Amino acid sequence: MTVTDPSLSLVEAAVPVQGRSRMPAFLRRYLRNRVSVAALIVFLLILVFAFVGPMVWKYSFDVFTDDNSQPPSLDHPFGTDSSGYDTLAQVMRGTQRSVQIALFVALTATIIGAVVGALAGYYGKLVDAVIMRIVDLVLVFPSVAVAAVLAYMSMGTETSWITIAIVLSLLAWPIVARVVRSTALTLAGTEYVQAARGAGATDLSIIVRHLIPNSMGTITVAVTVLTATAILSETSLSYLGFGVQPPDTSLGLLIANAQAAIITRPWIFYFPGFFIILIALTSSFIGDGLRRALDPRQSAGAGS
Amino acid sequence: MSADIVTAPDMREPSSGAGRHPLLQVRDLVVTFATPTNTVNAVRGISFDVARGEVVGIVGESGSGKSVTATAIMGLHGETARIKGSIRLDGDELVGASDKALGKVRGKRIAMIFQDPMTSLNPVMTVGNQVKEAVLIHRSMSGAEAQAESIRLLELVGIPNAAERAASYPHEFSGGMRQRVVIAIAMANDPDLIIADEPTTALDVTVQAQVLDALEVARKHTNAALILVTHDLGVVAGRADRVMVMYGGRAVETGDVDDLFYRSRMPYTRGLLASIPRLDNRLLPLIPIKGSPPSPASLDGSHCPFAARCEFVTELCTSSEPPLIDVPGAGHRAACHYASDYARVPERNPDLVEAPPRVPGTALAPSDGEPVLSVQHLTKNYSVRSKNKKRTVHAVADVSFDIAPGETLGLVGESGCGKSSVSRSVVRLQDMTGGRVTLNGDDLAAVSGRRLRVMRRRIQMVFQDPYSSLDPRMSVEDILAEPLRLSKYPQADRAARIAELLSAVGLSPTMVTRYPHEFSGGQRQRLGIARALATDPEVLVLDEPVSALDVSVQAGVINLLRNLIRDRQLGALFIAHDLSVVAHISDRIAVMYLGRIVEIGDSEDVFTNPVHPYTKALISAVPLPDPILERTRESIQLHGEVPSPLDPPSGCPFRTRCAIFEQSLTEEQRTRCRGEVPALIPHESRQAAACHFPDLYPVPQPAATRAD
Repeated sequence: MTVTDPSLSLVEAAVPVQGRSRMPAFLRRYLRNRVSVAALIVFLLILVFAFVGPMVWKYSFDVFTDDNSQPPSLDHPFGTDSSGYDTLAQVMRGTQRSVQIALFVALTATIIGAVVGALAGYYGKLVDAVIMRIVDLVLVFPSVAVAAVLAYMSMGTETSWITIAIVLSLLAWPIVARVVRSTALTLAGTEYVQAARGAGATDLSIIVRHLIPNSMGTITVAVTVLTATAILSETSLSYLGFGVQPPDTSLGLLIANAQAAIITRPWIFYFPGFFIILIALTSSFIGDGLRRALDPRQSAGAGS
Repeated sequence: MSADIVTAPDMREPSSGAGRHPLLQVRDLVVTFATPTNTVNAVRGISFDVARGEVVGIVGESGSGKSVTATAIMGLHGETARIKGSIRLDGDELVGASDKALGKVRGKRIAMIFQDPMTSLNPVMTVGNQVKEAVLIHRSMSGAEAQAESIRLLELVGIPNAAERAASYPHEFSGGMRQRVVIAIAMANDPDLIIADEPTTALDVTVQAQVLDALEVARKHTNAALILVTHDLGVVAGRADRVMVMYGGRAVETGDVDDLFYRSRMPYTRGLLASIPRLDNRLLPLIPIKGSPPSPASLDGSHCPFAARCEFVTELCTSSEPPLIDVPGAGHRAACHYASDYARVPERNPDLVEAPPRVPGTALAPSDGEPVLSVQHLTKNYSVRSKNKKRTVHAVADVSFDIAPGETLGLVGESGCGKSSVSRSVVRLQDMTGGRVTLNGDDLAAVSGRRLRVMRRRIQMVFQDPYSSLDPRMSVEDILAEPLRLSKYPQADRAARIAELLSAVGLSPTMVTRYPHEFSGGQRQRLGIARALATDPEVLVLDEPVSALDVSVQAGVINLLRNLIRDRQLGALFIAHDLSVVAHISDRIAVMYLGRIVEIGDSEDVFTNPVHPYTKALISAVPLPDPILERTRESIQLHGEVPSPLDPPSGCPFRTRCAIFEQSLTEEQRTRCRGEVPALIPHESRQAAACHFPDLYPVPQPAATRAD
């Protein structure tokens, strides 16, 4: 340390400056977390498996093979079921459907929930009261029953997976709205939001620039939880017969079909079950990594 | 940890305790906190004694280790803390003692008073029962005896109608009253030692004086020694016998209070004394200490913790940590390599001062020019529900003032007086109930929507808390670009403008990519100021801009604000509860009480010749960091606390605490105070006070504490 020139002395020496744009810093923070990186890789592999796999695998999910009830072998790595369907092909297709539904639900429900929750928390008073009563109302619906009825009404159409996804989204957004509202309520009172208002920012600009970014931690956790619950809800619906309809398939439907065979042909139960757990786990770790990476305070090592 | 850290007692044993060991003997105390990534040395080897009946002040800024020391003595440090060294109470070792053994010491022999009286009492238990519980833990007596004892204790600390009020719950008490209850609990078992950790920091200044007096009563009554932990040099100046200044986990200077204040040998102590705003030196410039306090993690004993901020730093300071060494004068020790070589540490160089000294009378009077900001008859009511009835709180009642360009109006008052409501109404962060606010002639209250958003650029606010006023997810660049974007500042010029703003507040333009958490409190407040300046406002509203900052960095921010206001000819409304700070920055001062301005005038006039009895009491209650002045000056004690704005007194709002009303008035005159709200009556040409009988102020009584 040298004697500092007093005229410059008010400012401490600058710490090494980090990258200028936010994206590399964000990526760097994400990449520092090994578990999240591993989860992301596994998840990408699942996507390849689900979307590319069916194109290259010799069997199709809706074509009977000559082999019935075969345990896993080189020809049928996941075995076959009693009708002769190749389980690997079915799990690929099922994973594809389940992931589509889960991501759709996670994204739409989160967007609706985040916007509605931010509005309620930011404006408070009457807006809050009205929105939160609607939220309460939706939350008390017995979701599986409602979903069953709605899905039943649209059964048999070509795009039934998307119907199920919409139904599940409409039932799931209030969960996100509740957590985002409580975060927004706190944030709306902070001095930086006051400062933005004082600088002439519009409500929309404050919500987009301050409330939502600062709720990202809450929101990513919500996306993660929703992805996992959407997979499970889809599974329950399909299991009950109100979900994805044959000949199309999903992980839930595969498990439903396998229930009678759990003793005799366990492979047709275990493989879809394994993928459900894998998707839920990886999405949870990815969400955790995202939450940390989105927070600039996690950088620079020494947390203050 | 180097071996040269004090092994001998670094405080003189007072003569009264000669022949016996001191009440409390702390030796080589080291407290470390283990975090997942590293270990933090919060206290790095301190030794001191406390004699019976003695008052020792421990002074330091945040992170200095003063509170950790206090909690370590009580054995209340958390699970994550590791303690080494020795703490002996009357010869009994407390470090490493079992929880059971410590339980016998806590409350009985050592009592502790915490900072926040809102959280240190149990909200679902009556205060009487809480005192009674404390009495019964260590003493065997019947319930009725304990009850009587608790009421006696509550009376001692100055709770009126103690027998009746013992049945109240904490939420029915004000902050000052609660702190008295905490003091009553502390003295319940006749402790030998009372540790008070920032006991008055959360309280208003007039209440602070009362609570410190109650503490003094408790101490005298129990004959206990007192350790007073505080960041406020003014509080220790008048109350402590000896002082220990802590910095970076070490005691950097110890000695008798007079030695420390008048013959300090440690550059930090001297810097602190030169940098704190003082009511009595309000025309002298503040000399800031550069930088900010070190983080405890950065201290490894290899250099003087103050080296980075010291203007006399040498090679020696950065290569070894100085031990506490004796300086001439009994018991006075300082941790500076040059402490005994006084010539090496010259008086601080006045050339370093950023701001020229203030000259009274140069401020533009509002009558001299068009005011930039004019507030006329501002009122603000809130409706609240109380006891299931809808009621109206008159937070601001008929407040009027003008501010000229380049002028700072200080708005002072205690919590709940409505000063923040004024500031928020003026910048239209909330709507006013009535009145007009004009900005260079344009009515701010009448516009809305887009026109309001455009007009907002012309009046900007700096907030109190630098930790919540900056969006943690935005880089400095984004934070400063936001107001520029909103005011349609040309995109191409923004980077240059941001660099210019950063330089204007004393920050490096290279910092644009950093995030708020990478800055210290003082630097963050500078960022807040830069953001407020971005739109080139005509008026700055500063709401307690330095009250959340460490004392050693306050001065720099105050000087910066003064320069900016003068150079840019801004009108400034400076809101603060701290009179010393206001005195240093304001050209004029308005004193608020219960939603009304009770006195307004030129700063010098108000401080030298206050007219309103409340102003007199307020000025008198501010502790001065000067032991002799503190001991000799007469203090005016205000009784009671600010009445609830829900239920204000009729007529003059101040009459319930007014010395004139109490002592000088006839019943007929009092009727007038009860019935009629006094208007602001001009006293001198530029000073006005809202009092019916300002000339009847009673002759000050000889200084006497109320409870004696």
